[in-house]
Amino acid sequence: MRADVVEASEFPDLAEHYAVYAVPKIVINEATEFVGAQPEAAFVGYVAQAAGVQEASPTSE
Amino acid sequence: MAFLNDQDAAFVRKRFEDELASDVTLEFFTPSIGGLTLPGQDAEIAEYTRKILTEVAALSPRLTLNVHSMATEPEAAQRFGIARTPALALIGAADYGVRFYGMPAGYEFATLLELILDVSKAQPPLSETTKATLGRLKDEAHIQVFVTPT
Repeated sequence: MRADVVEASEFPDLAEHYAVYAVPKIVINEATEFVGAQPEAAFVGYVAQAAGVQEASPTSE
Repeated sequence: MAFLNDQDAAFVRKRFEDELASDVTLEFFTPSIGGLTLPGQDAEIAEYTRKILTEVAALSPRLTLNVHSMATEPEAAQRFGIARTPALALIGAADYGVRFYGMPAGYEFATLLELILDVSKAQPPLSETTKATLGRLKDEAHIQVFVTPT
């Protein structure tokens, strides 16, 4: 997992590419995005949507 | 001119003393070091960022700042996955993939502070449910959070 904080005004090419018109805007793996702070469960839901989740197993790492 | 006034510096120093759980290395990438770049806004932002980080790193013996030139150390940039500057890789006991692109000023200074404290901890401040979900991700997740300093 990688997590970047990007100052939108200093990287206008990225801001334009990801259509950043309001902040904070969160983009996960190009296709999943949302604007604004989210509760942890909702945020991780977006991450799961973007990266896919294997079926639950009793032992996770 | 100092970025942090005495009161702010004392506050940050105290938080580092109380909350830094391990050493943190700040790997900072500028477009270049010295007189090799053309003067311009990007170079000024990178230089100002370097000064901020220098002040921050001086506030705790557990913090180390390494300044790299993108121009002369492309292999270091590649090692940390850095393709743009100014960029900061925050490395704790391991590289958790946390990066900050741009200048951490204004409200984003608080973000920098929290990132440093977070990577110093072996465990992320997340619920067990969240950690279980993240442990079962199929693909890599690349999270980009776009912010502005105001």
